[in-house]
Order: sequence, then C-alpha cells, then structure tokens
Amino acid sequence: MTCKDALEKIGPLLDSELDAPARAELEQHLASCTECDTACESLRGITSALSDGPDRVTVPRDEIWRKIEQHLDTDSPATVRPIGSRPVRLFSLRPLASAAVVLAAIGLGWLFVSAPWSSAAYAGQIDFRPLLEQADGDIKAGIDALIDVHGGRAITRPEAADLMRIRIDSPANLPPGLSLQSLYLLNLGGDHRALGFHYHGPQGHLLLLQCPPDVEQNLAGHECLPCRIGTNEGHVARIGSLRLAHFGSDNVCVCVVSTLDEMKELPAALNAVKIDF
Amino acid sequence: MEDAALVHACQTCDRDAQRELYERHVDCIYRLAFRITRNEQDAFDVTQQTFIRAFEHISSFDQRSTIRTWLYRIGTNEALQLVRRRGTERRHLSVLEHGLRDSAPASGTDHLDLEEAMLRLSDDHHAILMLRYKEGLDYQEIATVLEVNAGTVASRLNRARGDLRRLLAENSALSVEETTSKNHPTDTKDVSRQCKK
Repeated sequence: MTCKDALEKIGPLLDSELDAPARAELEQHLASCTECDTACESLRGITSALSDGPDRVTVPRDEIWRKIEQHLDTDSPATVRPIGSRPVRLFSLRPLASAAVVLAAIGLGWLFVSAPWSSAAYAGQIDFRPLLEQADGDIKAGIDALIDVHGGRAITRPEAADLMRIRIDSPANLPPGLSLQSLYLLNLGGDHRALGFHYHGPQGHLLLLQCPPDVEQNLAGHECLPCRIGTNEGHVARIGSLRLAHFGSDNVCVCVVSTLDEMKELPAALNAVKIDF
Repeated sequence: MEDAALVHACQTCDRDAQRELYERHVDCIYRLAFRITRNEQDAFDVTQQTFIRAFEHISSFDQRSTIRTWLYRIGTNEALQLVRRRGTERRHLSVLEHGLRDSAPASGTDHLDLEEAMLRLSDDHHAILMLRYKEGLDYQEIATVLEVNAGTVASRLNRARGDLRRLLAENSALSVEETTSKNHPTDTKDVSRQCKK
C-alpha cells in the first residue's frame, strides 16, 4: 500500500467504514510508516474533538410544535406552501432561468387521484377556474378563458424574448407531434406577470405558467399528492381530463395544466421543454 | 409504537401520531439545523418547516430508509437552502454569538479553533462533517440524506477533513504569530518566518 492510498483510507478507518481486509492492510502500513501514523493520530484528534464538542442548545419543543400545529390546523390538506416560498418578488429573468433547471431535471414521478370538481382552484395568483370549467370539454377554450380572465394576451417569440430576455426555442426532444403553439403574457396584478407556454399535439395539451415564487396553492379541494421533478417537489391532482400540477423552487413557481398521459408523455414533455433556457 | 407503525398512523393524519413522531425526532432535527445555520431563529424555522413538509409528504415515504434519515434529508435540504440563500456571513458572525460562548477546550484540539475552522468551511463540507461526527450517521445514511452514493460520501468527507485540517493549521500558525507579536512587537518578521518553516 502506498502512502497516498493509506491517507485516503485513514478517514474511513476512523469512521469504522473499512472492511476487515482493508483495515488490516492499512493497519499494517501504519505500523511501518511513521508519517502516515502521525497523520492518522492527528485526524483522530480532530474527529474526536468534533464528536465530543459541546452541545448546549436548548430545543424550544413546545413553541415549534405550536407553530406546526397551527399550520396543520389552518391549512386544508389541499393547501400547501411550496418549498422556499417567500414574499412577492417581481417577475424577472432569474425565475425563468431557474425554471429551466426545474423542468430539465430528470427523475420525475407522478401520482394522481380522481376527485370531484370544486369551484375554487388557484396556484399563486393564477385562478384556474375558467380552465377547470372546461376540464371535460374544450380545453383550448378553457385556456383562452384562463388567459382572458388574467388580462393576458398572446405574444410572439421575439416579443417574449425581448420582454424576458430569454431565448424561445421549441425543443427537438419533445414527444413526437407535440409543439409549441402559443406564448402568452398574463397580468397577475401590480407588476407581476406570468409567462405561458402552450404546447399541443395529437396527444393533447400542455400549458406551463411560470410565476413569481410567492405562491400558495389550492387544488380545488382535490386530494393533493406529492410528485417530484429532480430535486423539486410539487403537488398534483387530476381534475376531469386535466392534470393540474404545481412545483415551487426558491425562484419560481411552475404551474402545469395538461391532458397528456401522466406516466409517459407528460414526464417526457416536462423534461424536454425549456431545456435550452 | 414503533416508527413504522407511527408513520402509518401519520399517513392517516392522526394528530397524536404526528405529535409523537415530532417528539421523537425534534431534538435531532433542531440540533442539526442549528449546527448548519448557527442561528437559533433559523434553526427554529428550519425545524418547523421540516416537520410541516414531512407531514404533508409522508404519504410518499416508502420506508426504504428510516424515518430519521428521511427527516434528516428534509432538514438538511431546508437548512442548506437557507444558508445558501443568505450566504455564509451569518454563520461567520454567529461564531461570536455562540461559538465563543459554547466552546470549551477539548483534548488534542482546541475547541475554539475547531469552531472557527468549521465556520470557514464550505456549506457542503460543514454539513457533511456535522452529519458524520455530530449526528453519528454512517456513510450509507449520509448518502441517503444527501442523495449521493456512498463513494461520493467517502471522497467528500476526505476533502472536508482535509480542508478542516488545513484551516486548523492556518489558525494555529496565526495564533502563534499574534501571541508572539504581542510579546515581542519588534520581532514580528522573524517570528513569521519561523512559523512558516
């Protein structure tokens, strides 16, 4: 065993993470190498001090539990605050760039449930009722109504690129037949805006709405189950023919409304879109 | 009640079970949060958010890891997100608030130096050393918490320990310089040269 190999294994040795043969080999080396043995003892002193250090923190158990219970009591099961949510910020370039990470990440898992229709549904400042009223009907009409109720309008790619200072591409690896149909700019009140991407193909519709990260959501009283894109956790519900999902990160909220098959097409599409941002 | 049964009860939103799960693990989560953020209010917030998220998502807990490890994963992510958002300056400042007050000499390595060196580590290295040496997690558990493989844990720990040792050596050299400089102000250059030999 070389000294370099030995030095790499001293940590695992002290952590009891070496198997018996490796341990024996290393101990044999340490017995014959003063420098490595000294390094081992030095590291043992450091790790021992780390483990034995003072721990005088008083845990405010009751105070924390009161806050948790308050949250559990006041929030219905379908109303959650997403990861990293925080006060309202202006819609800016950074959220959009972050959305690329959110959407390009791999490892997507989806869980859906069926639940009865409810008239209240929102994520952040977006009211989904106009769309959900078409959950089993004309989805395009529902999308148009959703855009309309938020004072939104269709915009061109150059306009979107200019407004948001981003490049708008239609990713090549979208599921076959699915393509970017329209871009929308929605007004959420004040200076807050959302950018909408509507994809359509034989498989169905996919509408992505990117909003500031200041959101709460209510999936219309439907049971809300967790799902994940990469390291970003979200929530999802099935409402009629629609899948309504919501993901929050530190910088952006992404609302997804889709009729795509949740097990294959939707994960593939979400992994493909915005990948060039 | 064992953890598995407790988790099952929590999945049905049983409030007593939630409280019991909280009571069993809150100390570990709070201390971990405090060690990473070095701030009591942040530790409070991280712990609160960790359990809220855990209860909201407990239906997705598949029992492939222990509930403790799963809570550590959520807590570590929450705490690291917080310190990354704020930068490390608060951790550095808090050595004055907590590190000095809480520190006591330990055999072999001076604890004040150790605390200061820990606070100068990167957030990732600081967190992984906390998980290993304060929380006592083994490599596989750390791998689960950080969502990496065990080999990555070993190499990351090696780098973290290496950085810590280097920082301790630097602190030690500086201490010698400062002490000697105070005693012999006119000999500073000579002492510096001696320390660097």
